[in-house]
Amino acid sequence: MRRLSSRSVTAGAVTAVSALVLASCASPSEPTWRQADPAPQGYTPSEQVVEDYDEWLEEEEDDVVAHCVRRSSEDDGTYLVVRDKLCDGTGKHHAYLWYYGGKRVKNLVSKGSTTRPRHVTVVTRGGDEVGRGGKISRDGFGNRTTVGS
Amino acid sequence: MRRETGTPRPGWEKTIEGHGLAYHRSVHPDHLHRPYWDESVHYVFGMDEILTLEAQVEELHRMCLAAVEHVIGAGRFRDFALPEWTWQEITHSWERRDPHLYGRFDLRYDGVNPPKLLEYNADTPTSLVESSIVQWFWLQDAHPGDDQWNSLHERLIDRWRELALPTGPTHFAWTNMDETGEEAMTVAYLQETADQAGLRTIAVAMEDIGWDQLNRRFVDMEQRVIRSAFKLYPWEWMLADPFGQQAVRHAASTTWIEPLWKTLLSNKALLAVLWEMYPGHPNLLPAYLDGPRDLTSHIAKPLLGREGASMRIVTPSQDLSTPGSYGAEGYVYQGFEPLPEFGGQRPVLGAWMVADESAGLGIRETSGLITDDTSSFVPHRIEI
Repeated sequence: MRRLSSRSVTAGAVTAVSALVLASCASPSEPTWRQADPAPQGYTPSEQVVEDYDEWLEEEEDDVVAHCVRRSSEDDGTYLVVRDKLCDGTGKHHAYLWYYGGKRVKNLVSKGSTTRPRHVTVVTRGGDEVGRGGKISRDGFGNRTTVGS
Repeated sequence: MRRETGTPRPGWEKTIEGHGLAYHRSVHPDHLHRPYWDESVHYVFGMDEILTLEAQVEELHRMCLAAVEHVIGAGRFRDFALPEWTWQEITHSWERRDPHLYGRFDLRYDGVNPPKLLEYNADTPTSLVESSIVQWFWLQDAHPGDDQWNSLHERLIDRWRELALPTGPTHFAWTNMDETGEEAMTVAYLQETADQAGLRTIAVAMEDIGWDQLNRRFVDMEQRVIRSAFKLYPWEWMLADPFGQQAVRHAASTTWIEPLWKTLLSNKALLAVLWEMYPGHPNLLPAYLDGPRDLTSHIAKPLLGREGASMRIVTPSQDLSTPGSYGAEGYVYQGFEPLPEFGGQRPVLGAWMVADESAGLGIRETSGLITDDTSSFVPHRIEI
């Protein structure tokens, strides 16, 4: 006869998650079992060459700001800042590139790098993350209620 | 099949929480006196009976796969209310045989007549932790000499081992909108079975999945490429989400588990297709898409409903509806046979499949005619 059941179950990680779920059930209105980073906003193309600069981005210690610049504009290490859209996946063109970090004065940026820095989060002025290839948009799944059946 | 009462183990609540059933309170409405996990009762089966059920479940699964083949071959996607832009990719997903992991048949079974298929939860089935782990430990404590229809744990690990997944870690995604913890636990458990199979795994919330616009691929919060992902998130919701088109059009570069073709099995239009293909089959109830036809009693089920919501039972003597907002995509009309009564409760058998083999049983009981979120899970044993 076929054996229907026999096992040695180890459930270490499940037990650990179980403890976290139980902790959350103590205060159901404010789940604590998961602490996700706040999700960045979905990608919205920037409109124009930027006139003003959000200083808050400079205050983010772990973030490096990426500017989209015109490759041919390079003049002694200074680049002309253009719309982000020209550097992202849909509108990407060889004539434009991401420029990481540096100091921006009006619509010129310098003292940064065209090489993507490692181990940091790269964001655009609008707060979008920039991957090693292109922009990452999020919030494309979810924001619903129950799932299981 | 019979129902027996017993004395719950001292400290059973702590015990089941330790086994992963942390959501037994949060998943259950507050006003109910009966706990979600109720080990004061259980069902007893004979081995021959279980072997027969197992064979019938595997036959149902084979019939379901034949139904997928038929739906794709005949292009009947409209019957499943699937948007046209998904049709080709569903076909490709099936032709590639994108790998599948598990599913749960819900069956009406009275211990005498053949089990009848109520639905196939083939995309995002839950109640897995209680079926695989919690009732197994209950058996060891309460009836150590008996057996159980339950090889879920081993089969899940074996299945992960045999899946040919792309290189890199496999992501495990749940939705962080779930506040009961049930989905997080189900995903955590499945992730653990994959870990035990030797896979490298990473947890991620569906909401945190990113789309790399340049490279056209999904990434996690650390920008690691998601090449394979288990998701406890139904395809019909993915399709309606902003990333739905990317998920479908790049299904070949991200292996989603369950695969896209399973959206045909988790849709209740399947019930009508099965009845067309296998009319009079002993494990099927008659079912139609265009109306109840000549059925004396029927139940109208939304094609994509969940948890017993938005259903309507019509018999010569009654007309009952459950609340809910499902049904915009249409209904299937299935012959209605009331769930059998055992000790004042009505059980539904949840028969598990892992890959293409029967793997276990979980029973939920309810006092009403429709199994909804007020149901309780009760363990079972096979008398040796």
